[in-house]
Amino acid sequence: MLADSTAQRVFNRHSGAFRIGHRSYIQQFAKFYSVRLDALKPLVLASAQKKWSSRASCTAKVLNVERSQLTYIAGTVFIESAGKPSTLVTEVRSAESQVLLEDESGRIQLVGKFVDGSVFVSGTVMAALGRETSGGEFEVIDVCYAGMPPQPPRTGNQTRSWHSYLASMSTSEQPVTLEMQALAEYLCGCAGSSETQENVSRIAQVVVAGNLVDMPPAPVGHAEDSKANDRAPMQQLVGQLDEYLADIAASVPLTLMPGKHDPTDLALPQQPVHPSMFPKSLQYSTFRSITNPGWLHVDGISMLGTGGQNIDDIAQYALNDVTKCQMAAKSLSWRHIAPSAPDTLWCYPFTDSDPFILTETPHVYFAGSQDEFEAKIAEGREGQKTVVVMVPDFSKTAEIVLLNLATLQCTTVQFSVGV
Amino acid sequence: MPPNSQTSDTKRKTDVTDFHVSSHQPSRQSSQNKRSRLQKAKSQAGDILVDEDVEMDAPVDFQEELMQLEQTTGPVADPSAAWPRPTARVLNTDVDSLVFQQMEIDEEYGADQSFVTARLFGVTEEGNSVACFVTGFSPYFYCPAPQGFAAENIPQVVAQLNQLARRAPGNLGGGKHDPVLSVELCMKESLWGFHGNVKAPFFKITVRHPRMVAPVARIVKDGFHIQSIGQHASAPFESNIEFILRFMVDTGIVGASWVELPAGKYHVRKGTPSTHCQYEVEINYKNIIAHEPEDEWAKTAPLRILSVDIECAGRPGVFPEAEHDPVIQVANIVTVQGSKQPFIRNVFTLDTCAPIPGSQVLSFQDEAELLVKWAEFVRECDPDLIIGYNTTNFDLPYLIDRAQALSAHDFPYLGRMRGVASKVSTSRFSSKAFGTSDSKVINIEGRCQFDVLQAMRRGGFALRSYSLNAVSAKFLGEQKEDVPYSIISDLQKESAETRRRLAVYCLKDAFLPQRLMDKLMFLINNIEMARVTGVPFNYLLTRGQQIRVMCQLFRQTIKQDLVVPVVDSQGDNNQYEGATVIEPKRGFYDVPIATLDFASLYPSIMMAHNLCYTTLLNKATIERLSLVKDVDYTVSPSGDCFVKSGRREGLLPYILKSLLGARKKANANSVYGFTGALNGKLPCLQISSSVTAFGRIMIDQTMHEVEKKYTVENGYAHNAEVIYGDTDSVMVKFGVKTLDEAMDLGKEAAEFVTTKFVNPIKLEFEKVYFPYLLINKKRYAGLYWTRPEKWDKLDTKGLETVRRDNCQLLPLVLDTCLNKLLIDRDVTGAVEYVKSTISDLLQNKIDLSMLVISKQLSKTDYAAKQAHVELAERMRKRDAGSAPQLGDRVPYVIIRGPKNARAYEKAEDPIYVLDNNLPIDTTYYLEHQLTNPLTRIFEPILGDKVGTLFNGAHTRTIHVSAPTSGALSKFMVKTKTCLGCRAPLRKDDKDKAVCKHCAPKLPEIHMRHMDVMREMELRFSRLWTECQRCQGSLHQEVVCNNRDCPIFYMRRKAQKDAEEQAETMERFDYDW
Repeated sequence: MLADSTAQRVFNRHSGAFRIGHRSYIQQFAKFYSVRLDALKPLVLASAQKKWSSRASCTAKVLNVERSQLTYIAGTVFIESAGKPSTLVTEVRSAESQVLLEDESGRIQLVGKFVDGSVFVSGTVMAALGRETSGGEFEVIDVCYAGMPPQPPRTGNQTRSWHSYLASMSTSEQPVTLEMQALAEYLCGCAGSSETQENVSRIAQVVVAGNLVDMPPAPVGHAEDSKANDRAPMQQLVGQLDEYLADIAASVPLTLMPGKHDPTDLALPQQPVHPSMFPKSLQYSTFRSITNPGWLHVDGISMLGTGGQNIDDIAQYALNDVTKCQMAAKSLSWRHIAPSAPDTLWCYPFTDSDPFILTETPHVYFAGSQDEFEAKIAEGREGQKTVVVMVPDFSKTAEIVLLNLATLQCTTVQFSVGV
Repeated sequence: MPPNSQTSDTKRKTDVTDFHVSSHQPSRQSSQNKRSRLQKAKSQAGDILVDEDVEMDAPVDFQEELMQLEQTTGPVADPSAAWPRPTARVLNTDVDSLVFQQMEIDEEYGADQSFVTARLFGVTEEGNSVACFVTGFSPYFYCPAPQGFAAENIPQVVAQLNQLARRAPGNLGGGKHDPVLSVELCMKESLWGFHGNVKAPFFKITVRHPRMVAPVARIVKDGFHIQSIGQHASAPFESNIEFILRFMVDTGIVGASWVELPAGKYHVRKGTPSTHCQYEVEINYKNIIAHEPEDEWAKTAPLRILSVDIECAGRPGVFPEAEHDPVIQVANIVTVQGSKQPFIRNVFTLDTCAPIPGSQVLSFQDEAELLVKWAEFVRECDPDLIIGYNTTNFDLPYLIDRAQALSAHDFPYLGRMRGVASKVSTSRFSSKAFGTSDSKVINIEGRCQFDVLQAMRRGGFALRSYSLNAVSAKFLGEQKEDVPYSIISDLQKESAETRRRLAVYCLKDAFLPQRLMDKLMFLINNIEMARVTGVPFNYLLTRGQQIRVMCQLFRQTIKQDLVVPVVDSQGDNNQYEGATVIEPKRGFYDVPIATLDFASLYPSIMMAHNLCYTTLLNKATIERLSLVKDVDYTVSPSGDCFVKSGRREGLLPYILKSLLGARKKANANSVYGFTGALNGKLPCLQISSSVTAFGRIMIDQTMHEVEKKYTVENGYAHNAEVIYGDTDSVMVKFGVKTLDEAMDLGKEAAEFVTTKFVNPIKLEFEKVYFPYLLINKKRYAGLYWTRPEKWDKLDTKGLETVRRDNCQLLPLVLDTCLNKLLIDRDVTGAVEYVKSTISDLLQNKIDLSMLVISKQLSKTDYAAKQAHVELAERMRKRDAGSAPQLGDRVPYVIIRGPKNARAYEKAEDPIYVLDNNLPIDTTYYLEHQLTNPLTRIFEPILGDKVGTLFNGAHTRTIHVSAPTSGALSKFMVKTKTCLGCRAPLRKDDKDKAVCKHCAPKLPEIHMRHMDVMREMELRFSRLWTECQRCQGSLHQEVVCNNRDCPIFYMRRKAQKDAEEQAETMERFDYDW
């Protein structure tokens, strides 16, 4: 029996947010940045006005700043750095980075003590307060972002439900590890103490947050060649995982979100893994395959999740970094979950809208395939509250995260298998 | 499977601890203020991150900074205030001497051409500009005086010469003034030949005006009457030296050097200034002090450098012409030599332009006004150097021509002389070292013009391209956005915002030449070169090598009472026997090959054997002076005789010694070239052929000495073998297996052989090649070692690496093969690599940019039809606007054509090829581009089997793309095929991705296609984001047209491939 697609749509009202549909590649990325700037700049300026209007006025375009006048400007942040991937330059040159603020008029370099000590990520839309230096740079004393978007209230009764996350379960060599087996038994309520089994019976949703498989990369230029790129072993492996997932889906609702190494697109948003790979799981209406990033709604709680690539990329190329969890929390106030796309985070060249812009604040925001578990609460100025969770890589830590939907508190469960 | 009991849900962490996993350190934003800490305390959830924009109150340090900012905020200074030079203090000429670095020397003529004044332009250490007029110096030349001439007859000679000169064509001096000022009798010796160190009487004939030298010299040559002697005709000496060089030689001033005007010996000019310089002074040439450029005087003055770039709004398809197309922007960057940052950045724009932070924008509605104001700016900031990229042949002439077209008569006064207009003329420059080219010449008195493009061309870099793009990529490590001409006009027309975009681009282009000059130390090196060779700074870019040697020669002859004969140019260069080459023993040597080099071979031969004009002997002299062979003189292997240094020390050896001392090796080598250049100023084949003859013998002798000494007989492990020798080096196989042994033997052999030669000839051991691939004469490759621990580089000679008429695939394949063969020593790997590359080529998998060939479209009509000319014509018919113009490089690829199609018919525009999926003629690339060069490097290794590289299984799969346009495409019907096995799909499967047979393998097939899609997504994203980064803008479309950049074709292909693959992927999206 196939899953009821109508029911799914009702269940997950954001399912279309990250669907690409018919694709075109004749366009460039400029339009994508423009729609992002157009959407976020008014919000950023509104925040900026509240924060600074008593001291300074706004200059509409970054290149219009006038020497010696305190003012604020808004635009897209860009970090110029030699360390970014390049087709032309193979050797890494000096790692000196510059922070620039750009709009349709051009770009201006941001300098000053404030800049040296703050976190900046390419692609975020930001306002900066300061003034032009004699060298034509902009000396910054404060910055501001759009802030977290509105948050719909929780609905429904979550008193009894738990939510569980997993990530990066499998390697390409060993299809179902002992730890995975243990996990399946745990989720099916067949293991542990009676207290544990009682807790498990309350699980409302299990999410595989990316990297179900770890697909070895195809040889460049020869991916189509069935000899050079034999995917038969992968088909077999995925078949075994399908059985494994079907077993779980038989007991609890299961959502599969792709990650960096899964057999779907490389660029964000990754589309759901092709249904031909999960014939057994798909027989259960409890099994769903979604996009990365993707939205879920469980018992009246809205959740936004990613396979982790967005957070990894932000952390890799940010100027002055903080922990990944802090980065993820910050991105809520940037109102953008993948600002470094397309610069260093590969993504589809959107032209009409930027799907990575946050229009509502989720109750839960998670990222998969992380080195270690971390959780925080991010609060917005209008009382928005989001639990931000870094979900550890199961293949490395054998840990899953349990989220109590009533209290929005997290716990981890680790599986260790003795030999 | 272990039993369940082994599983344990261990470690159920408590809620609290879990929430405290993350750090307790206050985050940056919370540390900045108290409120967030407060909220944190209130929170029950533990670590809370507060949305930073909650903060409406500014943090404390923010307030402080704000106050600081407000305090320092002052009135904005007018950027134009930075233009003028620092104020010059008033000179008290009785007390103050005036010291300055001269950068430009020229001459001016007095009224009626009655006298000549030398002008020195330069800068003091304080940064004040100086124009120094040097009086009293007149041009002169020499000729032999008759034996027995009595000094009292000199007035008669002067009168006689003046009389003849007045009758000469051109009426010298306009009849008012006598051309000849004076005749002196002096004892001199001709430079040419050894005369037993005996001087002879010469007339020194001084004339009024540089232009009078040649006519008076002609009179002397034709003969004139001398009282009591009769008709006297004699060859003129030194009548062909330019006045400025004559002046500099006689006063001892070298190029770009410091001069001093001592207190009391000069005066400040009174009255209306004739220049734009801050000091205008006059001095007699006898009083000027020339400082040798050493110690204190090796310094450089704070020279002002103006780097300029202009933009023109051309019409579609036509290169801008000054007659029609306006100058829309002029960007200027002014830097003081030695400081890292420019102190003036501005742009003159036609029509309004939105502001640019850090740069001054000067907007004009009237183009003529723009030009005139720019000229005023140039005079006000008063640069010592004007630089740019192709400024000599484009920007400066265009500005001058454009001003003329607009009748902006106040414009062309760019020099330091008031009232002297700059004009454009054309000159043909021809030099053995630098080639022949037509060049524009613009007079800008008192300012040096230094076109960085010309400096690049002369820099000996051997680049594939000298475009500003290519050069910036190479030396500054950044690609440069290339905005197409058509877009420039659009940007100009649209708005103040788009004009700003253009201005930012223009400023960047004005800054690049300055950055290149700094990076490559062009200014410092050229100042050094002018000082060593003695020529004026501007000769370095506008003149050849010979004039530098000539100048050094004159500086020596004047000290030794020698006079230089005038030798008529002997037309084209005849070939005389060149350097020797020991026949190479071709092969692949997997043992160390030691290389013994003669250090500066030709200069040291000239020094060792005292080869010079002054030491050259003829038979008559030998007999007259009873000279003894090998005691008094040397006979060179070419049969020419030169006296030994005991009799007379040659002048050229002396010059060479000082050049080598100053480490100017290239200049030392040009001395030899000077003696051999038949069309030069002073060719002397006896010297040049003696040099090469000595060289040949020495190479041979080295070979024999080495092979004689290093033998098994003499106790060495192996017999040494010289496998190759060329010009100044020999390659020796000592037979030893290790680098250490080879290096020890190499050192020993070099020392041993050196003892066999005359000092200062020195054989040096420099390097070992290991392994070494000797392909042919002047063609080899080897791994280069100077110490046994680590190799230095892969060295190649004569292999196809930089030639532009090859496609880039060739150097890539050659380099990779040589790396594998010589560094990895992996013959199998190299062979596999070649085979897979050929296989990729035949299957159409090589990136198109690798296959692009380019040739310049030049003026000349070609007799034979040429691919790029024909293509340019075809492109013009398709779209005149985007077709290549004269002077452009035409990039093309070779596509498949009908059978028997000529090569020139198969050339096609790469973009057209991509857009229409035209099939590449891969066999052409295999046969005409790869086969021969690859055969050459693999033959020594594979021998007869080299053919297997190009034939065999790897050449059997050929993929030809199906064109989407053209005659053939009309007949093709697309049927849907199975994405697994390519079998045509039957009716009931036609909406599916795969056939029934492949259905069970659908996941696997989908994964493979997804792998392709992933690759396309990656390429698309990487290439287009890299172009965004390079153009320095995220919000503007990439419009760059830089075809030298490999990404240009790749990114177009990436779009097409991604588009196609996305279409294929959609076939998997049917209902499940």
